[in-house]
Parts: sequence; structure tokens; C-alpha cells
Amino acid sequence: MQMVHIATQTLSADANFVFDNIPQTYKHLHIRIYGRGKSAFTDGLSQYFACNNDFGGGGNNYSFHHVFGYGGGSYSSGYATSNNIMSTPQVYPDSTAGTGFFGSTVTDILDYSNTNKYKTFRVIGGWDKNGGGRTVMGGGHWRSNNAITRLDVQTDGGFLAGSRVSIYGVIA
Amino acid sequence: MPAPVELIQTFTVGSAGQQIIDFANIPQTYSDICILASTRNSSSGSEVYVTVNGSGGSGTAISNMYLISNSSSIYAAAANSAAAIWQTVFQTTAQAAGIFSNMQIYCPNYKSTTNKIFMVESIAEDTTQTGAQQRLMASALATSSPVTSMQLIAANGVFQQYSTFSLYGINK
Repeated sequence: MQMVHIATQTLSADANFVFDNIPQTYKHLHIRIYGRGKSAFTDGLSQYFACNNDFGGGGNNYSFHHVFGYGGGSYSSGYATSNNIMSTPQVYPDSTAGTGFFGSTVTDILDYSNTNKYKTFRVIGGWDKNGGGRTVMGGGHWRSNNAITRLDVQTDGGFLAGSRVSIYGVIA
Repeated sequence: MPAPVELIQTFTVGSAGQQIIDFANIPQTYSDICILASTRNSSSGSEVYVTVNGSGGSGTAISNMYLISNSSSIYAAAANSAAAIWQTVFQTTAQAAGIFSNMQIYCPNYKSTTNKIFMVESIAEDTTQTGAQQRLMASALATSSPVTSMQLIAANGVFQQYSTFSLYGINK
């Protein structure tokens, strides 16, 4: 078996996610998320990753760039430097969406334990609420050679109960 | 019951760099194959070409369709009658040091007698807006032959040290 389930957290109450003590025995990390946020922003809420508890205290070490599609067209955006968290905007439905609408993302972090390179994220995600939604492809990086041992997964206002995050290790 | 995802072969580039990564003699025992690559190139302007079944084996039978975003613009392009899955987004020395790209190439039904499809998701990151790029590609290879080898080729320069390439077999 070359792809191993590391952990799954399903929220029984509104909250964010923390995965600590991530094993260093795999080559890559593969993360699947089913989520919805609690803030109100009809264009959609962001997915945030913080690595190793780095929320900007040691320097703003994240950059991220994205392309979006919606019913009326497409657009792109990016934040090149000096960000305190890895963000993928507008990828989860907000509190104004009808009950039961969730979004989903798949994130791959290659060579997450390699201490010779920065860590680059690749994210695909989207949501629809029958009257709005987004498809998103994004990337970003954490400017650190440290192995990723902890991931905080957040959204605006916190995730709604029922949201789920699963992390897998890919062996090489 | 076979494992759903199995490692077939992996390469890690050494200090001398390497221009060609050759996944040869791909086993014909899986349903699909997938390549995960974390790369950086020694040139300031380069691309990675992916050929199938040898450098001459692809001929002009590959066609490529792209959706590309560099955070300040979005565009789509096509390249027909090509010899390779080409212009795959690629991290070069034009982008900030230490950052590596994040790429996935997925080929379902790689041993079938019908045309082959390659789905490519790739991210080049940077600390500037225009230096980063997200690319989504669909490439078709018109051949009834199975995919027995794939080569990733740095068009200029070489893949730098710590670049990694892993080929996986995926079972039903």
C-alpha cells in the first residue's frame, strides 16, 4: 500500500482543525476536505493552511495565486509576498448559503518533509449553492525548509459542524 | 486484493542535475498511472516536455489543451500535432530561490488500445504576481499502443538537485 490514511477529523461542533505530529515517513501529503464556513461573504470563504504553527510570527512566509471560474466568467488573483498564512480564497460556501451546501477541496503538498526545499501547495476545489458558486485552482508556498509536522486548517469564521478533513501519506 | 496505489519508480536528482527523467518499462498491470513531480530548473527560461513511448514514439500524435493563469491574466490555448505534452509549467531560476513546482500527470487506461488522455495539474510558485502560474491541461495521444514509457525532459538546462519524480500505478 503506497497511500496511507493518516488521520480524519469530522467536526461535531463549529471549529477549525489542527493536525499535529504529522508522521515524517511519507513522501507527499494528500488532503481532502469537505467544508463550509461560518462568516458571511457570498463569493465564498477561504481555506487557510498554517504550517508548524507559523502564523507570521517569524516573518510572513506564504505566497499564493489562484484562478477562479463562476457562472459569469473567470478571474485570477494572487498575493505574492508577506502573507501570514497559506490561503485559497472563495473555495467554501458561506453562512448565507442554503442549509446543507458544502464545498470540497483536494490539496497536494509534495516533499513535505524534505528539508532542502520550500513547500509548494496545489489545490483544486469548488462549491455550488444553486445560484452561486466557484471552481478554484490554486497554488501557494511556505518559504521554509523545515519539514511540515503540524497543519492548522481554517476558514473564515471557522468551519461548520459536519465539516471533515482527511490527510493521507503517499509513499515513495 | 491489490493496493489501490503503488509506487512504480522514483527519481531524486543529484547535485550534477539531470536533463531527462525516463520512466521506462512501465508495468502493464494497473488500471491508471500517475506522476507526481516537484521540480526546479537550472535555466531562467525553460519548459518541461513530456514524451510518451520514446522521443520518436510520440511523432505528431499529441494534442494539448490548456487553461493558464498567472494571477494577472487568464488565457486558454491549444497545440495540435505535437510531439510532446509540452509547455508544462515549470519552476526556473527566474523565480525565487528555494521554490519548487508541484505537478501531477494522470493517465487513465494507459494500456488500452484506444487513444490516451493525460490530465495535468501544475503549479509554479513565486514571490511575484506574474512569476507564478497555474496550468490545467488535457492532452491526447492518438495511438492504439499502450504507454510503456514516459520521459520528462528539461528543454533547456537541467532539473536541479532535490527535484523529485515519482510514478505510481493505480488499481481499480
